[in-house]
Amino acid sequence: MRLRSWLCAWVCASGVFSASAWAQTAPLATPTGKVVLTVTGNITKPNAGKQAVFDLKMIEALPQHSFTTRTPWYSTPVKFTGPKLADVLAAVGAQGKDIQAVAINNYQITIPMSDAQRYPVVMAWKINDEPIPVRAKGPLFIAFPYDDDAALRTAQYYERSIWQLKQLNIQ
Amino acid sequence: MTRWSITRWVWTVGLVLTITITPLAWIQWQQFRLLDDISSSQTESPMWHAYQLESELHQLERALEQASGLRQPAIGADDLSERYEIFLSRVGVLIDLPRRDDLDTQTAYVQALSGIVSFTQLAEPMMVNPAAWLKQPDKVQLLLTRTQALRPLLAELTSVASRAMARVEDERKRLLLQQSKLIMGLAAAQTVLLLALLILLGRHLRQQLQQNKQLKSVSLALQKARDDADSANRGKSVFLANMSHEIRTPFQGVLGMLNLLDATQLSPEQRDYTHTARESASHLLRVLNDILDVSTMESGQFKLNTAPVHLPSIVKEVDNLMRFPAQQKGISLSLRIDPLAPTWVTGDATRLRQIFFNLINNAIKFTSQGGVSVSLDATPDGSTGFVFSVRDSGIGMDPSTLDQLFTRFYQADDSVRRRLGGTGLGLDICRQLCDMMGGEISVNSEPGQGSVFMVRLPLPDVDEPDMPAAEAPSQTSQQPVRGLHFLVAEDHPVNMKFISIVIQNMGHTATYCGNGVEALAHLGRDRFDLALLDYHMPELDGLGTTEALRQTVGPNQHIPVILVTADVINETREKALAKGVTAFVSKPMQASDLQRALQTCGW
Repeated sequence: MRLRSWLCAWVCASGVFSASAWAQTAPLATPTGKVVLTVTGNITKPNAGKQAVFDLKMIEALPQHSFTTRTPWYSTPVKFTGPKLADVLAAVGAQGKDIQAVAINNYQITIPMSDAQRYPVVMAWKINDEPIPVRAKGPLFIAFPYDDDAALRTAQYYERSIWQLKQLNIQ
Repeated sequence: MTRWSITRWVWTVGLVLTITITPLAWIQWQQFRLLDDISSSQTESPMWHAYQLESELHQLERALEQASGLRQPAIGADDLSERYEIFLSRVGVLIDLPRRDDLDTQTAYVQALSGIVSFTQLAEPMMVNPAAWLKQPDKVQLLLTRTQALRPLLAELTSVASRAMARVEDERKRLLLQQSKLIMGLAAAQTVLLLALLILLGRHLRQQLQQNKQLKSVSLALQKARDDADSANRGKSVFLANMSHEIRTPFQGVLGMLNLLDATQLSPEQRDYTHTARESASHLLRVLNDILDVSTMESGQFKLNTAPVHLPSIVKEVDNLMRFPAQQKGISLSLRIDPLAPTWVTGDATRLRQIFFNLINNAIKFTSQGGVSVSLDATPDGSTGFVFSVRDSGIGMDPSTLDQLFTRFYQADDSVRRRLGGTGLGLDICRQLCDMMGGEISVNSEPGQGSVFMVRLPLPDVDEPDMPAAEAPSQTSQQPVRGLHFLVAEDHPVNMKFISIVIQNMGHTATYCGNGVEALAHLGRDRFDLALLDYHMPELDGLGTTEALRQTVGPNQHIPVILVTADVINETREKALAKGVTAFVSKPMQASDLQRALQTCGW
């Protein structure tokens, strides 16, 4: 059991590293479907002028991560699935201190870049293994593993958990 | 009040702490839970989301106007759909929210939800493709009417949610307040309990202190009682020592004169009388010596005078002494000395002699036929010391007699005692002496089968000494010295007379005086070979005289001094040696004693 969990941890870790390495070196693809995320600001690998744009397929193509956690917005624990925010930032070559995140309803919040390094923050495009429609806070939802750390169960991190995300502005 | 044990105190304190701290811990846990709950789910309040929903409805209405061209700037059909989706997401948030604030029980909530449901029933199919009907004013107007109808419902929902939130906050405050009161109450109870405990502890300590004080005073009283008893005992032994002097002094006269009388021409009848008189006097003297020994042992002043001792000669000496009584009783007395037995040991010669004498004397006393065999052996296990045993073919003893044998004043049989005499102190003295020498005495006996007494003494071996003071084998071959000139100081006229005869008989001359002062006068003038001084004298005693002699330059400053004393207390002898006395002769003085003292002095 112990051996298996170690093995799993090793495989996952190596997977992340190779994926990150790939993301950092490869140029960003261009979207073919509807754009769901726009990254602006200080990035080194734009794919549409000075911006980087993603459709859902591009987000799906990044290494995927899942965790199940309790939240203040659902009465039962939910499973979030999607790429790590760190991988998304690496894919666009984001360089800066803060991320200004904007939602479809124009809700705005600043997330420090360090959060993406310190926690396995996920940019979820699936909740309970289902893609998220806009009416269910989709299509993108920045989620923290709240159950893992008491520090995450505070207003500060709940307000950084932005849903209906449409844009990241790297500053 | 009863005294509490440490365990009881520990249990009490533990119990009090448990009673008070457990509820405190529970309350703290509750508070922690409350705070954690607030931080994890309560940050998202229904009031906020109700307000957001209301605002989103407004945005939707606006988007509808913009999309249908009723308001500038115009927006596309897709934008309207998105707006609708956002509105729906807001509804979802409000329904899914874990924190309810009892909102779902309110009429306003039910009404708002049913209003939203009927609105979405209309809007849902229309929003699939808004471009299809945006150009039809009646449809646009219908939707607008329905959104406007929803507006007061959502406004009411917001205000109800706001009041509900206030109630929840009140409830939370009430809970916190209640818990705070509980904590304060418990803390107060804890304080009171601890104070009570402290008071109890203080009382306990005070009681202990008092008890200690009492114990101290009792122990002081006991110490004083012991000191009193000790000093009384010392007084007794001093009295005994004085008495022994008082009794022995006339005895010296009696025995001496009897000896002298014996040496004159006597008829057989007269010789028998003097013999009987001397026997009686000797017996009395032995009894006196035994009592004196026991009392000095008891007073704790008894000490052994250890020096290198030639063991075989002491045994032989005692054996020789006992040959005559054995012959008289018609029994045999045999002596065997194992060549492996130690020869020179460190011990008290006088006391060894006493033990040997007592045991052999007893054996002869209780044996009427057969004999007594004495042996000196090495220890069977080869350890330090020796075993001295006396085997007789006498009357023997039964087990009950054996049990009491070494107790004081005990004799096997009162009739025997009457017949054979004796104080009953002999074996007690032997046992005590053996104890003091670190050894033991044991006996094996059966009635009619005789007895075996065994003394085992772990006296350490010592090399043959070359100092003249040691108890050397008596040099019988050497002729006693003659022609010495004595100075004799003795206040008792009878003793003086006896001493003068003894000295004359030994072939010496003497100058006589009655006290120390006169003695010093003589010693300052004339030349003497040695001084024989009585310990107890008026004006200046024997010790004082010796001290003065040694400190004054004169013709006799360094001559030997023999002290005649009845004191058997060792301290006296030690003190005397320190003052310059050369040798001792105990009272009553015998010619042989004086001869031994002269040998000690070097003649």
